[in-house]
Amino acid sequence: MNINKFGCIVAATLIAFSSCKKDENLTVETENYKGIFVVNEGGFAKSNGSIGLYKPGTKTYFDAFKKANGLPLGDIVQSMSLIGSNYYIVVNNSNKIEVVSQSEFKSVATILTPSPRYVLSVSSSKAYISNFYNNSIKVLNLTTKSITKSIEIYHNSDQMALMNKKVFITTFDNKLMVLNSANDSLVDSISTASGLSKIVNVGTSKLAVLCAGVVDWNNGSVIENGKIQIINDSNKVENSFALSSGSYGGSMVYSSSTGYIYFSLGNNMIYKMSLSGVVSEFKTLDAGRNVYGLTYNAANSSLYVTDAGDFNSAGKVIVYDLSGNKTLEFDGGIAPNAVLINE
Amino acid sequence: MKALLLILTSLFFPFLHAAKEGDTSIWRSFELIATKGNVNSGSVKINLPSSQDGSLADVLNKNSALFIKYYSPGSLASTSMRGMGAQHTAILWNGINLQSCMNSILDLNLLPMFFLDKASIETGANAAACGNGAIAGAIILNNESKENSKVYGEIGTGSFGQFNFGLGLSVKLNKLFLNTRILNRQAQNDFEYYNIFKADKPIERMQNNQFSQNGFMQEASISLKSKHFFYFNYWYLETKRQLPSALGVSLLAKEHQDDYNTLMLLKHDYKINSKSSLINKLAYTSENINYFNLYYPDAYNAAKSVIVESEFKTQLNRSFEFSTSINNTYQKAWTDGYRPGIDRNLSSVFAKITWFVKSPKLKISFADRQLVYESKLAPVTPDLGIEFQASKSLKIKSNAAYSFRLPSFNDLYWQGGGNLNLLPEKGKKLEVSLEYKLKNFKGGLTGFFHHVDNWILWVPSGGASSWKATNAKEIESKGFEFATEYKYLISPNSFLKFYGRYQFVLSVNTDVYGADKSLVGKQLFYTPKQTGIANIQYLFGKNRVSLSTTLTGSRYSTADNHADGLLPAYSLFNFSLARDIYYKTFKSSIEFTISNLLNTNYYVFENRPMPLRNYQLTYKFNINYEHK
Repeated sequence: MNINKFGCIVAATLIAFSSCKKDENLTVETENYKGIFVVNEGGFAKSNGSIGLYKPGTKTYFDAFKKANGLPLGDIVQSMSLIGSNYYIVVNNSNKIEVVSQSEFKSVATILTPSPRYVLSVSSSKAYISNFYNNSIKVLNLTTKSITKSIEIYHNSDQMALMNKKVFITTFDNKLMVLNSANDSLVDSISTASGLSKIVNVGTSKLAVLCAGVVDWNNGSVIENGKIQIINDSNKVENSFALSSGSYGGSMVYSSSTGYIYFSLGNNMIYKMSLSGVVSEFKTLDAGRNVYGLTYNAANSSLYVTDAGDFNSAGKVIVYDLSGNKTLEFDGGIAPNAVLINE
Repeated sequence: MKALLLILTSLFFPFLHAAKEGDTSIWRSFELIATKGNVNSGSVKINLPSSQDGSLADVLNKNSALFIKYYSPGSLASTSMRGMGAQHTAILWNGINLQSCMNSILDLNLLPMFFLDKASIETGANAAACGNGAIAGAIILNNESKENSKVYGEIGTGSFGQFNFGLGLSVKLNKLFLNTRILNRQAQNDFEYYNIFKADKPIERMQNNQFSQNGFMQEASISLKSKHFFYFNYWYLETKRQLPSALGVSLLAKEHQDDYNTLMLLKHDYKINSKSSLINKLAYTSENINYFNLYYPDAYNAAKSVIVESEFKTQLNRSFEFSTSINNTYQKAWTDGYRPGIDRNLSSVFAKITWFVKSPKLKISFADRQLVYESKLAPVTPDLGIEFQASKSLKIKSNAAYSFRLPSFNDLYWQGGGNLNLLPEKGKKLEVSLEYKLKNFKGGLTGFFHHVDNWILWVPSGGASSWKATNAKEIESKGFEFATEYKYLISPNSFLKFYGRYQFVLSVNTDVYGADKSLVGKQLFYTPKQTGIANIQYLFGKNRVSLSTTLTGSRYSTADNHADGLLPAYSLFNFSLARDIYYKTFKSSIEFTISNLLNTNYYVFENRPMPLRNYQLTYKFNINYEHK
């Protein structure tokens, strides 16, 4: 072999290795952004959370935020709320809330705030933001998209529900904190059963909270069964209904059309409970499936179940009518926890 | 860009100056394809250039076709060998397995090359020779007592605050040999990157990414009556580093971690007679990993192990060689997941017989190890190796073996997910290699097949909010490796050297032990099908010019191989210029390196940007002296 041949071989090898595919620029395309939005948390610390959009007509699914804005969203997309003509997308571990327009899904503003969980509109100009690592509720001016105030509530906070100008906030300490949304003052706290996890409005003057009970972290055995408690407008626990098992968390929604609370304790069982506390099985998912989130859509009286799978693959969204018939199933993103319908 | 590469490549060829062999340089040249010294008969051994600076991860990254998983310079680094996990590669330091009993891996960035004299990779299962954990292969690290008096060291600086300093002193006093090394490595690692989470992708600087390491090593050896050789080696490393977040993740947590590692070995080599020897080893390892995060309580984790081993080797006759050993390894660990501490004892017996046939020239070896843990028998690890010298140039090798990995302490005992019912992972493999050697050319082609059952994963259990260690699946990994090495003598004093290595691997789930079978047939995530390296060096006079490139194929970041999670392939080029400076017994060398020559924007992990083009300048010296 002479030196020229040798050089050719070497050069060819080096060039072969250099001919890899490079990063592709994301393209921003036009879209009407109507369909079923899926809130995908993504893997913790991987920044692969997303808002997906499924279009039932074409049976297509895509990353809506990335498509509209040409950017990935961030780490742990916790929730998305429609307030006015904007969506407020809470990206928990990116410490931000992306505000996007309802029509084009384009970013309107980015609100930086520590460990946000949920945004709840309390008036036409004001919303509350709960915080995972902060003992305060942030007050958001919906016009300027800026945080104007912090309300000390002495606990980290999670879900919120508005009832008669009072905001009821779940904490991780089995307490509901009650704020007066008119003057942003802390007015009460309510002790709940163990494992306070979710809160929903039940009609106009009652709330239901899901308390998942206590589970032994060592072996997964249930130490204390969960409860669903009904909170009345006087800030009192009006009823407390014991459940037959317990869990680390769970999901719960309410359908005013049937008058049932639908809930899951995180496994593959979905139950329904009347407001008198009678529990029956609503649906058992296929083996291998688990309920990670429940969303109720009153417009089509359907229950949207999200299954996070192994948290490292596309999760599933499964839709049931209130008779328990599966009407739709599609793949979401990583760890879907809720849907939001815009049709 | 390709034109530039052509020009750079062709630049090597006009030089035709007088030069001498690089072996005399303190930049030790190395053979990529090792032709002897395998731990395991019939398997493939790849040497690494131990004279390079940085960590073991740095050297593996630049010189091997292994996929090194790390998310930033200095960060936790592990390897994927033959498409398998980090926990499936044993790391042997002077024969002692350093895989942590807590999680079965070792951070390759913790081991500085300045403390090592020899490093190699043996692909393929090595469980019989290495014991627990060597399902994919082993990385073999050794210190060698050269027993000459010298002062030696290195000092280097580079982009984003890199600074390396190492100093060694070895003294030969009659039959006693002492060798001391100290080192300091540090880096700001505040490199620039494109922030893809912001509009227009502005260039920003990495934050919370500092690294610093201090180390001390002491070797001592003494020969007595030519029959007894005592060897002692002690390492202490203290590593402090910040842990950068992925892009898009809040920086408020300010994570950082301190590692403290101690390695100690006492070895007695007794030559019983001209045919038999007895080697006794006593080793101690300890690791403390302290993790800090502003949001959560500090986490203090510690593990220790004591290893006692005795190995007897004998030449039975001209045709047979026999060796046997007994090993007892005591492991203990304390973490937040099992605070009172957990311990276990691993005892094993090993035997190997090798048959040398003169005609046809054949070497056949059979080995097995039986390990006992907690009154249970580990899976057996029979290992059959055959090497056939088909002609003067061609050798055919084959190896078939069983292997296993015991569940780690975290898998078994972690409160909230640990599973005492876990079974050991069981592996089996078959490989066949052809090695061709002719004058200055060497080439090797290996086909391999691995099967691993009871693969341990942490999966959601009993609902989506809790996780549990589970024997989750069965995988198959198959592919081929190609390696070549060629030295072209231009003149008596100048030569070109080329080496390259390429691996293609399909590593897929063949079964998933759960109701959801959708992951069957999927390539393991973060497992590229293709990896490779190519390097060309031109040595002339006291100078050396080197250009190398590494290829990492596309890989999925998600288990379901979703197209959205496909990370693009990348290739990196590194260029270096070095010159030796000699004066009597003083040898030194200065080297300038450009890493990521083409300024490639690449990611090993999703949303973890890596450094763009960067520079290093290193000076090494070696002064031999006679002690009187």
